Amino acid sequence: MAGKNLVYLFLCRAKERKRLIEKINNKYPNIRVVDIGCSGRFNPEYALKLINKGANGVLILGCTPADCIYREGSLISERRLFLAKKILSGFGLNEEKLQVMWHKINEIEPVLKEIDKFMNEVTAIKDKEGVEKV
Amino acid sequence: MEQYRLAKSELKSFLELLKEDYQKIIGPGVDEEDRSIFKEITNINDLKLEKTLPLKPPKEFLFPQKDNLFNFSCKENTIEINVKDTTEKQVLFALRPCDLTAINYSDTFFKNNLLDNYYSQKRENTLIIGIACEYPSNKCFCTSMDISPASSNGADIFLTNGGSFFLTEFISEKGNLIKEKLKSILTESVQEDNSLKEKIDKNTRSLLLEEFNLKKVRENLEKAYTSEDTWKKYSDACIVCGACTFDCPTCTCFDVNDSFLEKDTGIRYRTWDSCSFYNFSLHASGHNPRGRKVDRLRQRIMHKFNYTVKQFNLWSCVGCGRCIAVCPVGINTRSIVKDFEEALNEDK
Amino acid sequence: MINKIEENVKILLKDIFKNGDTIISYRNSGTPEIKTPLFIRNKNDIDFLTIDNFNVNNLSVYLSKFEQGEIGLAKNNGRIIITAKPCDAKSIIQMISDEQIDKERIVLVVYECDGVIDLKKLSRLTGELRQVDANEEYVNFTKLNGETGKINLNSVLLDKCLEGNCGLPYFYNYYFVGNEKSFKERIIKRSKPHKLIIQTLKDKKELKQIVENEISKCIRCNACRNICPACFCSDRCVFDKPKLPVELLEKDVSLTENVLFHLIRFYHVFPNCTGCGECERVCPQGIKLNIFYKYINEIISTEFGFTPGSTDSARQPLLSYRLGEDLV
Repeated sequence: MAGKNLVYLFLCRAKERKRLIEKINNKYPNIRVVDIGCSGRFNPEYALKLINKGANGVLILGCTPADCIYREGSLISERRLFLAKKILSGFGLNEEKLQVMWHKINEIEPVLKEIDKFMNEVTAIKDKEGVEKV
Repeated sequence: MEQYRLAKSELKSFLELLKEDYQKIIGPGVDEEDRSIFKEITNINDLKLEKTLPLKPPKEFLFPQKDNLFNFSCKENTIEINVKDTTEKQVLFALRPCDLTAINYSDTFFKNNLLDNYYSQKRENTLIIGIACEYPSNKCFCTSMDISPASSNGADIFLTNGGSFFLTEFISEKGNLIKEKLKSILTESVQEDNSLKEKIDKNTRSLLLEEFNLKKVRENLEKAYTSEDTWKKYSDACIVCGACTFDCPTCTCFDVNDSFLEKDTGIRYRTWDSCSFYNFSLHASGHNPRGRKVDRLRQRIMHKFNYTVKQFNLWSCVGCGRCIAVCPVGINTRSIVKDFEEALNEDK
Repeated sequence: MINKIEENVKILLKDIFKNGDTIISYRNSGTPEIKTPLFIRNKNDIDFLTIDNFNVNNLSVYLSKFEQGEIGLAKNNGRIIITAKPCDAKSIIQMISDEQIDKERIVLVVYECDGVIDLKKLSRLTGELRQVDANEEYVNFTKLNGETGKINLNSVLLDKCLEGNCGLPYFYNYYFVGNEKSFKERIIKRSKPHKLIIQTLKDKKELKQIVENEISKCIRCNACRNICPACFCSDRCVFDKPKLPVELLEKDVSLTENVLFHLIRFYHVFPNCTGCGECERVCPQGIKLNIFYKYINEIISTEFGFTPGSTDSARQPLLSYRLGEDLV
């Protein structure tokens, strides 16, 4: 994993976000997209593991509470992800590497904009830290 | 076996002369909380010889907690394996008779059936300097395990405190090899020096809190194997952390695993394992013959005080008391074993 | 005062004990300064019980851990009578709130202690001991070589006792009042905020260095996880490899894996940690885990206004949400 500059994007309802995923894959070859069904399903332990092992960043894309087809999925995950960020900063790791985005299911441009911003941020962090050690 | 006197003022030169042949000197010092531990001695002021037994055993310098066995990489039709040889030489300084006996046990264990190269390479490159013990802890019971606090068994060189000097005995071939170099700082030993060890033995023995009769214990342990209620009393409090086995100088069980760094390359390593863990005796079928805490505690006591005698004719407990000191819930091996000094009632 | 409590507790227990009950308390081990948990299953053993300033263990851990594959204490249908200090009672109440144990089955006997002695501090001041006892003011001891001595109790108390981690428990079945003055003083101390290392450090790099220094000592013995009452997954723990299709944590004891172990463990106990400090006490390597558990207690109480152990029917903060919270 060292030196590979990987970013992991966990998103929900991948079947309905096909166009968005295509655009991401074309523009950013180093983002790995993972389908998790609902953001409420996401286990922040995996984000902790990835960041600890040297991934550039972890992004979570979920639906806004009004849009969630499982009713409360994104609401439940909000606190968990918040605590995951706090734990990262408590251990001296950079909590900016874990970010969460809430978007409606058919939004594409706003999502790409946020991903753009995130990639710039994590590249800046990575340059500052120098070569990552696994 | 020749003996000399080493003045305490010459201790600094003694270590410096050793440093010419041996890259590292490991001896008793203190950590940041002023507790006695083994650490690398780079400055004579780091050495603290008048404290109680160091918390951790010296086994980590011969059998590290994590040991890389070899690197491997898979290419086309072959697998390339790279083993690194150990060439660094080290001195284990001021080991007490309990730790000396433990090293004797682990030497036997790692030679049994198949010679363990990783251990034996480090062992050959190690010079062991023992010291007679004058500062036991209140958890020690070496005398109950038939070990004298002034016994030089297992050391290459042995020191005994004589007030302003150390009585220095050169015992093994390795010790004798270095004798010539050290002769410049050694002085003649006199007849009275022969009684030093006996005095220390008597004095330290009187400081120990509790003793038991080992032979009786072993007989009664055999008979008490099936009495589960007896063993349950002791195992209820156990939280299965394994700290007793990690701090025990004779515990040598290990687990082997592979770690893949990238696709097709990686390291095979071994780490300490503990018979107190549930997974230790878990079979691939899912059956676990020691699935309950009581089974594992009984196994631990029987192994230390019975089984290894049958296997190697050696006790695998040296009475250092570290398991008692580190146990988070206060389980006391010495008390448990002492209870077995008396035979059980038949109706228990 | 605490010796009086011991007498009274014994009288009470002999009174309420019924066949089939299990009492969890403390007794002497073979070493003068160490006490060990005692499980009483018949009335005669009640005399072995001791209550004093050396009872450091948090006995609530035995209520939340199942023996691998065999549910230890829950096997019989009797009650579980447990003697607890006020800080231990918090852990038990949090467990009831998390529905890990049945309130009807527990008989909670709480006693006010004068503070518990930190054995590391004690041995630094006294050396190896042949005999020791304590009262509300002093600790009297005899060394191995026969010398006697006396030191102030306050100089050897656990840090958590000096910072006042106690308080009246939310509920109890029986309560033994101790030395009222010292107990009230310690509750008052608790309201004084203490600075966390994490807050005082301005530089993130410094914190990372401290964290790495501490965690590089870790030997992954799992003592902290096993003694923690909040880690009630016990035999279904995510760190035990055979239970998962994908390995979360390698057996390697490198720094990265060790940091990950603690990251995940503290993330898991976040809403249940009552700050009992047992993890730090039992660590064989002496890692300063108080840096982490105090930090997570602070976050939970400031962000969600929730103090673990304060009530026995709380809405778990991680299992609930508030609309419009907008935290991330």
